[in-house]
Amino acid sequence: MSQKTIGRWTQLIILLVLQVLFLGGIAGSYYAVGWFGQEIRIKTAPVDPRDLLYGDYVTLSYEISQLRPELWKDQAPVPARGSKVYVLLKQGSGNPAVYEAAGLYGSKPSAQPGEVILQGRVDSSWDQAIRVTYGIEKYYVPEGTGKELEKEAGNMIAKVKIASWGQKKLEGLENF
Amino acid sequence: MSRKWVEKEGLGWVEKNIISREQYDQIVHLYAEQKHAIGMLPLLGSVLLGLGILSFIAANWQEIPQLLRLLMIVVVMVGFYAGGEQFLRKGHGKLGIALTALGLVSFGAGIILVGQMFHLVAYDLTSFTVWGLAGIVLTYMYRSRFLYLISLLIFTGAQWYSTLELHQFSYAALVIMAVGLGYFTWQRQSTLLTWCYSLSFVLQCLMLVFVKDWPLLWLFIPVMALYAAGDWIRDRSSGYAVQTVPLIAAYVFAVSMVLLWDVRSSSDLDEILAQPAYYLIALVVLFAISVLGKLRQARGSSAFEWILLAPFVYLPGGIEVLYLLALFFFSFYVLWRGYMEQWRFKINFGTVLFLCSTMVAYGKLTWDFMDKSLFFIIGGLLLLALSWVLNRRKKQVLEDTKGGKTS
Repeated sequence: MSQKTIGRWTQLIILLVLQVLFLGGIAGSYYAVGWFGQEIRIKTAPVDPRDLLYGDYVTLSYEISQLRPELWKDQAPVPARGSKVYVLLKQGSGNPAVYEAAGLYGSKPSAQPGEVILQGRVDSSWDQAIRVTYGIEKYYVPEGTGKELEKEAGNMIAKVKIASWGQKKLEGLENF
Repeated sequence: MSRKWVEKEGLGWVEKNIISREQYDQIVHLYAEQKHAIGMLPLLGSVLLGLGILSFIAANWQEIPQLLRLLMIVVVMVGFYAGGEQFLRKGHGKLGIALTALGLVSFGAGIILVGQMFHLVAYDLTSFTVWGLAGIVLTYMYRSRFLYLISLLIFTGAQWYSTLELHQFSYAALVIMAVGLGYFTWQRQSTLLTWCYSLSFVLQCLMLVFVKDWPLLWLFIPVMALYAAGDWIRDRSSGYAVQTVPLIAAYVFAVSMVLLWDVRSSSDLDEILAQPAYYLIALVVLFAISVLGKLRQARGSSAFEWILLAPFVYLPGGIEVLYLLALFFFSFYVLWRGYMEQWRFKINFGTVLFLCSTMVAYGKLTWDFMDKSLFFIIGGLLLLALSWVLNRRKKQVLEDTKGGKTS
């Protein structure tokens, strides 16, 4: 075989390794979140009136998704749609002990014991509320099983793992 | 060439004493069919086997643990890529490229599966861009038009998804596509690729303008930048392939100005009009670059195409008439150049443009100053006469050139 063909095998192998590393890297990092992350429980909330079930996933909303403007602790005005924000969560006293929002910051605050910080993005903000999305608003389900979950989804407990490096992962849903 | 074709045509060559009967038999023998048939058997077998495995996996997909699913996709991906390379080395070009393309599709499936495994919400196009990038690298490795088109489709689709679902535009994806695939287009000078590239670029610019809520006129800055780039391509037909889509965009804009100008309101104007100073400066700069390129390639007269971009929309009145005239002049110009250059594509294109312009005029101008039924009669006769004349001229020219240059 000519030199060129051998060269292309090498190229292909490099490209293949990169693609496998890409898939494996993402999967591995989320497995690591599952192993090393701190587990918290947060309460879901009913979603805006729209179709919750979207093909093979259920759209979720949380109590910490809609925040009162008083929680905004920075001097600057409330950030615009799409900007990064940090939400400080404190463990509540109820049973089960879910985490509740205690503050909203533009830069990462430090957390005391019993507190965790979730990074999110401002989805919209108006006088009464600031809506934040965290990237854990989709729950994929096997096809055809979403209808039952859809009825419950507004009143459940979500198990979320947060890694020390900020990555987070929705582990599962439990009945309230 | 098929054996059948050789058998049929060859007899004619024997009759005309170009080849002897013996030579004819020898040539036909070269195209023996059984070699082909035997080569097909393992292929059909593997297709059947693959389909069987696929349907088995699809039926049990939900029960398979997720990690195993990911491993399976990775194995399938590696298999497709390696199989594609093997077939290419054995000279089965099309099959090899098809398998490689399936490998690329499996990579995308892997990305989607990982997203589902961890309930991820996509915030941006990063993972899709990586997918498209793999497509670009493959395109260069195999110098394949098919892989090129798939990569283009991935980028365009991803941007579409981003626009609709995420309400944002990925500049990174656009730049990677524009540079990565643009350089390949430049090297290959293929009309088909250039057309598709240009179409995708214009569509993505349109998505950008919509997502950002910019005044519509800003669309024509990147779009005419692409047009101007087309003027620096030496090869006439790929240059024109680059420029056709931008010209169609400008044409459609002018048509909508003619038809919708009456029903506009001031808020509509805000959605259309860009800041005049910046817009006009940018347009003039592009015009200069374009004309410079045209002069260097000795096609200065095509600067007339810019008439569609004349910013009549900023004038206080008479806008629809001016745009209508621009449409007509442009259509006439394309037709005229088509006949001058005896270029079939331009003649067809010009004919379509001219008929469209007539229809627009027909639907627009009359109501104020002419009785409707009279207008319909005159308009209908005009269209008929026009299409008859144009068709006659078209036939003449096409007969003269006997096919000539195709698009």
